[in-house]
Amino acid sequence: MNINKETKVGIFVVIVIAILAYFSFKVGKIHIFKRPTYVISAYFKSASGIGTGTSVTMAGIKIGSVEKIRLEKGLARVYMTIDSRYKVYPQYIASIRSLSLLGESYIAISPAAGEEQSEKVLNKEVIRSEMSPQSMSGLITKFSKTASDLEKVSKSLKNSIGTKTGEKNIKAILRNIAMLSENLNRLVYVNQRNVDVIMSNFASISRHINGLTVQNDAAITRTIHNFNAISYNLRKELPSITRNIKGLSKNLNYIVAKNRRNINGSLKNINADTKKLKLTLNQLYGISSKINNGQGTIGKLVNRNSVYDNLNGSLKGINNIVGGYSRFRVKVNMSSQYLARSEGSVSQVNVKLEPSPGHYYELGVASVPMGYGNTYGETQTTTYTTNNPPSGQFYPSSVTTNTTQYSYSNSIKFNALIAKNFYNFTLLAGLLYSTGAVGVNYYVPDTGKNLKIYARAFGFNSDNNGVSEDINAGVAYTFYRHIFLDAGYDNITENSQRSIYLGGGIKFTDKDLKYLIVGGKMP
Amino acid sequence: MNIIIKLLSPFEKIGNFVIYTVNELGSIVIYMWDMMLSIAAYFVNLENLIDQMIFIGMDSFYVVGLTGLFTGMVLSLQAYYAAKIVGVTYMIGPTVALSMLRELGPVLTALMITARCGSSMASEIGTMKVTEQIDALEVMAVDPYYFLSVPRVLAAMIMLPLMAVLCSLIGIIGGYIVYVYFLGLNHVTYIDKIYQYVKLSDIYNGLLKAVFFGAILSIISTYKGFQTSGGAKGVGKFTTQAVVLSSVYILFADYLLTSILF
Repeated sequence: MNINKETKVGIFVVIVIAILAYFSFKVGKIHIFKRPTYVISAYFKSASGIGTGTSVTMAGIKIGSVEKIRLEKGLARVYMTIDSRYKVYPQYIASIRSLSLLGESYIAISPAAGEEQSEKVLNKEVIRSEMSPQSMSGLITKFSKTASDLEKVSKSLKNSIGTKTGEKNIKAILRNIAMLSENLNRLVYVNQRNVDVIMSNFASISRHINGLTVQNDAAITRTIHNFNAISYNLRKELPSITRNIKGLSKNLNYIVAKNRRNINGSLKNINADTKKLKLTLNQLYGISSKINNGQGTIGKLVNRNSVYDNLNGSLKGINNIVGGYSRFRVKVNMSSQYLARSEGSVSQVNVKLEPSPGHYYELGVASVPMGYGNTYGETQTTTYTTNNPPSGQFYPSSVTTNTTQYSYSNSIKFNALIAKNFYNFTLLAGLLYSTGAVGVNYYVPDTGKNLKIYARAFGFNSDNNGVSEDINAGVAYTFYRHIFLDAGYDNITENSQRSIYLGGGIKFTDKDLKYLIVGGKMP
Repeated sequence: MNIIIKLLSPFEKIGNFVIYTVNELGSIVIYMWDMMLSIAAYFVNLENLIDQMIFIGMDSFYVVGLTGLFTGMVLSLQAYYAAKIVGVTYMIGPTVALSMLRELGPVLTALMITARCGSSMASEIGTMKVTEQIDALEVMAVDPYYFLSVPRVLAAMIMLPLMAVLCSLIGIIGGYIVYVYFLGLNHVTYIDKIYQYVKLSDIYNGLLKAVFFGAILSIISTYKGFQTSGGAKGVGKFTTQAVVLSSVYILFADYLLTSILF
């Protein structure tokens, strides 16, 4: 291809100017389609560090920028243009924050906690503001205040603990604690194996408790609501309570001051008590070491491996049984479909056995119309006519008439299917209307498994005499949990047999059955 | 008498230098005036203009692009070493973008194009002058300014800002590559901060500079071409002068323009 030089220059210039124009728009913040904005303002004691164009953010997201700053009554009134997509309410608080110690400030707007939202802020309305400490000197004064408080605390601590008697007591307490922890350590070490087994059993039991809580979700939610109410009341009462506690602690303080000598005495008593505890632990250690060595009945029991092996095994077995039973589900559905073309209907009762959420078995009985996965009953009648022909081959010696008579005596069929779930799909295989069948269900997401699209292929028999393969597909929608409607297209592959069908039915789970049979509260 | 002459010889040199410089500047002004007259009389030779635009623009793209890319990468890396100490690595993007747009983009483009095209202009016209082709043009009633100078100067003034834009853009991209892939910093920060800190005036003042640089390099180069004398040796000498003078004047003008514009 031969491009002449004028074109070359033209293309180059246009590309560069396009790049230049693009970045000019970006950098100059020129918006061809300007977003609608509104203006709000806030008063600040000091607007140091912010200027025209400073970002205004909410929850870290830029929602606008500073338009202008005016001095009013000794305060800085900062006007901010806010993108109309974002709403700022009058009780929101604006504060000046900074990115780092070196400056680069921005304005952060945050919702006020625990207040009802009112109508939107109008143009040029003022919102509340607060000043956050942003200067280094302010921070340093705060630090120095904190440091002086800390110093007072440490001084008073020194007065109470720094004395000779206090020191001695603390030393004694520490020594006893050290011995105590050593003994505990030994105890745990001796019984480590047993502890392990107990812990693993605890883990499995807690897993089931977890399952139970999931089932009793509603009850727990109610309980939490009650707790919530209680805590709300408590919050109301809290100020008076804290007032009381304050009074109490004042009194306590007074008492303590009065009884300092007594406290010293009680520290001594604690010292004596810990010594006693140490003795007790020593004895306990002796007992447990005896048990460990296999002395006495308990010792023999504990030290024989088979005992806890058996215990462990039986616990595991109970686990499996409890787990399996709680997962098992039974579902029953009864349905009927009307076939528009042949004016027949398919009625069936199916029982779904669901040992786990991943798969299920479906067993059922169906009453089907002729030709629907069904053998034709065909009778052949032959009639002979004998009228003694004169001679020659021109007269037929007999006439054969074929009559085909359809019958479908065997209209009750059986279903037995195995189904496996993958994500939103379920694959089925087995017997459908007493013929070999495969199928697939697709549960449309976000409908809670209520909207189902499905396809079935059946009629695969080894003796295929008179039975045609049949493929149908349809949509089923469940509402009110128990009722479903069903519509689809039957026998898609064959021109002559194609038919729309409509149907519906009811379905139950084992919970509903329990309710129906035993009575009681509806789950 | 001889002693006095010897004592005065430094003054003689100073005087010569002043006269030479004034003469030179005056010649350049006269040269520019002649070009204006030529434009007024004959307008512009469009065919030559387009040829020169291709030569200065598209054909220089690789040189200018590579210069910009590596400059941007180096800037980003150097800025990182400094910014890391203070903990303001988010300012690397604006640093690279501002220095490319305001300073390095126009200046480096002008220097590279001086080296590539200015030298070529000077030697081409110089050879024509030495072999008396320019006289031949005049004999054929073709104005040499119309045929040779005006297209070159205009082409340089048009293409230099465009090349400077490309140089700056590629430099910023180079800085981005280093910032994101070699230093492993946040790519959004780089771009966001550039948009935050770069102003429109930064871009357009940079472009204005580039226009001046284009004028300087092309006028000096063609002027030196027309001045050439002394055969093949003279062509070499005047070409060298053209490149050196152009570069020096570009850097000098850069300082002047910066102090006026920003």
